[in-house]
Amino acid sequence: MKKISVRTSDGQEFELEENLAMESATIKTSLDAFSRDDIILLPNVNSWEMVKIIEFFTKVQELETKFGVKFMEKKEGRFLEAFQAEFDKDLSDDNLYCLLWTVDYLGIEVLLENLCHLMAERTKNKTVESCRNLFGVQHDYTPEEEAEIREDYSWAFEGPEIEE
Amino acid sequence: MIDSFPEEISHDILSRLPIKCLIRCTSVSKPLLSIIKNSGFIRTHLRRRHETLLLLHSRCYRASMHEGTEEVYRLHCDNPAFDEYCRIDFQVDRMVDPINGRFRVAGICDGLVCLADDLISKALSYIIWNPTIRKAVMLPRPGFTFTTHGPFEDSIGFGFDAMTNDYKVVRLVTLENLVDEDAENPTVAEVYSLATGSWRSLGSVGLPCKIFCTRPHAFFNGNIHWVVHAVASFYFILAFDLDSESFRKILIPIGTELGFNSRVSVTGDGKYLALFTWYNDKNDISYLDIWVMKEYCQQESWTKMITLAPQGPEGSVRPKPFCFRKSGEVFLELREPYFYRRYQTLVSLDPVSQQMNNVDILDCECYSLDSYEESLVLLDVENAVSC
Repeated sequence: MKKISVRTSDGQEFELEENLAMESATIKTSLDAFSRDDIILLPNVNSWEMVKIIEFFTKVQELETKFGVKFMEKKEGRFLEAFQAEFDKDLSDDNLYCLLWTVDYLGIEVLLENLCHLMAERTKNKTVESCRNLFGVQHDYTPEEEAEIREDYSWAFEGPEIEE
Repeated sequence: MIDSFPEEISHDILSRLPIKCLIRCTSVSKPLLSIIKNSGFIRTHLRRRHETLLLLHSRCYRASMHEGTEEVYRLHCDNPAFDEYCRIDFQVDRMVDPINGRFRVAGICDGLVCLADDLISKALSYIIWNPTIRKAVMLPRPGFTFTTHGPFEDSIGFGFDAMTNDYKVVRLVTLENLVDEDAENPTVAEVYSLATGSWRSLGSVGLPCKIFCTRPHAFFNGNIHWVVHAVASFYFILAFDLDSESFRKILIPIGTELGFNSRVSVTGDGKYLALFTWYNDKNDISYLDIWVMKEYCQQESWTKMITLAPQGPEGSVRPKPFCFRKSGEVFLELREPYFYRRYQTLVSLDPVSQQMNNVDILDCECYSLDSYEESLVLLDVENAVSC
């Protein structure tokens, strides 16, 4: 299979399998515009991200074979869970954010699906405080404003499934 | 960080979250509140097809039988075991005391339940309620009333106008005091819009027909459908297009004569308009026919799925349909006639194999059973009250 060469922002070069390269809408556009023998520059992608993306994609292909799931059907639960089981524990929140941006920039739909799922799973049972940390947002409510929401929707703030 | 993501990504992540979590997220930060309360996001979340549930409205014995019965709303999973998903507390007396003793579930759309207080007396009292986020809106009094127009029969329908992103309640009113030419066209209509919070008259329906009792409607293909009685003793299906606000006649299956309890419905996959009708054979035995309209508005495309004979050892139990399940099966109530039974039997009928399976609803009397999906609709409506 033909290999496509890319260079990341920190100068490292990677040779991608053609089928992986074509999953990236961004790379595909570049290939259509220029010759396939040229190296494609990816100034918004770091080398550690590229390594991860290749790792992800290899897993996706493996799961495709295992579950017999075609590309467009990858929203299936088992597929998302298997991907999560493999990668979730070694991915910090910050790394997950970076990868989300990068995969979005590269336009790799199937990986975006999986990463959004990972992000959502991390959020699900968190308390409000933990969510603030996870999302990296400022606490911009006054105590009175926050208390009003909690009172209006008290049922949403209780429950055994919410982690401390 | 999350609010600096492109909208597509933050919407993607958030739309995967359960509703309780999303409500908590509204108190995380103000930008997040504004993302979640946005009507575009609410629709994105809805489109993600979360679990199909069933809303059961029933009367059940309290924990101790000596304590009498209570009215209960429960959500169940639409699976073979009919597992309970959760019980809903609806403090209806915070809002209004129904003169008929209880509200009726008149329609469900996108996680909103339209309740009507019109079982016997016409209270002209309606509520749009989202049990998932526990918010509700009380509708103002409609325009066609006994005081303004004299005696009437009425029926409501509930649906979503995709063009204006608005939920609407349509009320058909058959006026009984009309004379001369007006008496030939006795049915008028008015529409309530959630966005404007008010009723607006649509005037005459424009097709000679009558509503004669509170009749379940079906919202399908952007239209609300009712079975109506045509003045010359035939029936047809009246369809109201929410976008163009126009009425149209859809003919019933060729060769059928609809009966008093005929009603429209929608198949479990949401693809076809369906019709439940009864007919009597020459021995006066009632049969239930279930029809499906394969091509919308094409009379010739009505296809009969099944004819169900009366059930029970003496063939005296008439099945009453509730709704279709996602699987294509139909929920039916089997109740002995002429005899008040505290407990009826709820069954799930497979129209293809004709097999019926009992569904255990824990000794409750089932008022209504409809498919339901959780949503955030009403979260962005300022005057919605907690309930």
